[in-house]
Amino acid sequence: MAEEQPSKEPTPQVVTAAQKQSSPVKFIFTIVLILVLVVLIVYGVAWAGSDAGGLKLAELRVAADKYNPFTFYGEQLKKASEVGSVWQTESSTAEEKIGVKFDDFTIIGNKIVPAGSTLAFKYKFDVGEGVQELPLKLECSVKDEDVETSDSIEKLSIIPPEPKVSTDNPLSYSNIVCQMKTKKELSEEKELDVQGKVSFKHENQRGSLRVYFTDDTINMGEDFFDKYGIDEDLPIRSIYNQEPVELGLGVSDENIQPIIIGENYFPAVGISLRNRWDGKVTKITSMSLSLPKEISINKEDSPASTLCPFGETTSSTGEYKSYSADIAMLNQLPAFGKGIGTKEPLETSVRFFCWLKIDDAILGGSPYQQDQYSVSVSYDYEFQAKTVPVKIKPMQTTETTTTTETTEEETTQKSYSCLEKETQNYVCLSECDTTRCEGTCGEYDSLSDCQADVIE
Amino acid sequence: MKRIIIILIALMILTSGCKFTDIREKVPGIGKTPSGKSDFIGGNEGITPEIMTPIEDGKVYSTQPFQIAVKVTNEGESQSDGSVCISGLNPKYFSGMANCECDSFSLEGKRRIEDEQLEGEEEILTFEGGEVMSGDLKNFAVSATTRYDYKTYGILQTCIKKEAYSKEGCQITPTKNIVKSASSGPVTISKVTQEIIPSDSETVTLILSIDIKNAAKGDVFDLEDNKEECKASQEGTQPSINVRLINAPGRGICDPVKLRDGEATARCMVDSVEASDESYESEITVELEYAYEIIDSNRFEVV
Repeated sequence: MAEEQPSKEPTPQVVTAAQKQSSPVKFIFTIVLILVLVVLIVYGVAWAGSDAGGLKLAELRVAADKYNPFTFYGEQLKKASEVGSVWQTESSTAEEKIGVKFDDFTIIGNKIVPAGSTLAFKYKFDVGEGVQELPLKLECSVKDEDVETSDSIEKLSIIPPEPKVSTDNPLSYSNIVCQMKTKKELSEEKELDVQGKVSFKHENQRGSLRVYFTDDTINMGEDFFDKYGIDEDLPIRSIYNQEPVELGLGVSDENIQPIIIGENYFPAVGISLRNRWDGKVTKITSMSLSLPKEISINKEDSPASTLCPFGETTSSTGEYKSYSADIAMLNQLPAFGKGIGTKEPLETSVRFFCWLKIDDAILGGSPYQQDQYSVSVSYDYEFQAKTVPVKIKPMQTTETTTTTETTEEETTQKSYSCLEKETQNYVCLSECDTTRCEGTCGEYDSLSDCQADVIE
Repeated sequence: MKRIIIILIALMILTSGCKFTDIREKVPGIGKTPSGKSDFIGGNEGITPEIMTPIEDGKVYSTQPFQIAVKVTNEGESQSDGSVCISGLNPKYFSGMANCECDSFSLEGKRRIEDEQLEGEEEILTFEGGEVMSGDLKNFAVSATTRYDYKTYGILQTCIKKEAYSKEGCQITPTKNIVKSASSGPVTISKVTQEIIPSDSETVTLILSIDIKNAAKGDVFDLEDNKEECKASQEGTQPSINVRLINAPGRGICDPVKLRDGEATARCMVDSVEASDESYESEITVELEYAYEIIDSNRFEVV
């Protein structure tokens, strides 16, 4: 008897009671989620349109400029490509900070002010060891706006105008301020990005490289140091002392020592300047190269150019001779370093390369000799500009009559200076808010009196 | 008259024997030691230089006169004459130094007398550097290049017989190492093998293959070169090691050998070796003569 084939009927779906109940729950949850999203969007738009929200977005925009993925990726690629074109250095083990760094540019007081107010911005510096009377060049401007013809700014000034910073004198760098007087007649609300810039001259930064010479053509590179039992960390590099620019030196593209003296060997010197701080070199003002007296720049293979900007020997100390770079050649070099906000991307380094001629008298009958190459460079350095967004609100013209009265009231309305707990900045308020303010508030007859005192 | 002739002949024999005695005195291990044993101490050392001042990573004060001291010790078994040359110091900073200065030495090696082992001689050579000039360059390296003549000896136990493959008497196998003892030197005798080739009815030719190795940290130097001249090795020249057989049972000829990658095999041929059906063993001494160079360097800082 043939077996009966099981009938192929659709399997009935079993729906549990729990599953029946979850369907409306899911529906409600979805509705609630949509409502929440709608509320967030509405409030978000409203917040963005408010004064505080607008300012916050402006601050985020300024901060995000630093981390623009397109420029960030481009900079990383540049760093990678520089590995072959800059000569590496060895970092100094000293832990002391050096030089002056432009840390911050902050507003003193409110960021939202009525037209006619004076805004004040403070320059903050981190000063390292050994700084003595370093002159700083400061700038304060409204980004993308010509201040002189601006319809919102009446006057910009920096106090003190030409500060000189010293490590031992904190007062020399702790009270540097940019004051901006806004115009009273402002027809509409204005959002401005106020920019602070700092630059200085860095003089006579030195770098040197220990160099070995030999006429041994059999034991080259690492074999030479093995043969003579000389314990050197190869490749031999110059020392970097945390200056704004890393000054690298090399004896060839691959920086392989010792230098072989003989026919068919072509000695050279390479110099690289790579930006390491948060700014750029706007101009190299001078550069000199010091070589042992037995060595000279090969003028046939390296005539004066932006690649090898050195002219004839400018001085000789007996054992060493010095070549100074031609100023006209240096002036042709573009700025290099960090350039967020610039129209064209900047290179982060600049490179020089000169062929040399070496007199074998440098060996003096010895199988090898050691000496050094050194470079001294001076340059103008500019930190990346720091920006603070502010909002200027016009005076209300429809309430002219009442405004006059109100203005009179306002001028006679008391104002209170408050040290904000959160920001530790002084602001002027119409009343002393003890939850917001630290300690007691100063009392002033008018808002302008308060603001004038706060700025001082 | 007859007595006079006999006395004269005896005197002739005695005086001719002196030269062999001289060699025996200079070549340790030939024949027998007073203990009746023929053996060397062995090893792979020769002259060992060490820069005593300045020490590695030491400091040199620009206010003090500068002096370099190098200790040379003969840790091998051969008497040795050589020189130490100081180089690498820039006269711009070390006004008392020429680019290269040399001083010579002569040292006996270690030796065994009866049961007592005497250590090799040592000497400290000093070089006056004069005043140290301070400048931008602070870190320096100084090198002591030591070049010396040396000899390495090996005592070989050869087996001589007419029929090389005869199972009677001493046995000859192509791979057997017949080195009985070897002296200490930077170039060592690692292995010697022998072959017998029949020449005629009464003589055979003995062929020795001597494996030589540079076992120390330096390099073989040219025997003919001036050891007190500071210069780098010339491309293309490979120094030779002279090989010589002493008290061979026939006329021994060896070709000089050059090391390749620190090793080489020297071949010596001894012909007209008397041989019969009865085998016998013969001790032969092989001598390697060469010059050697070793360099020691120290880095220091001028403060």
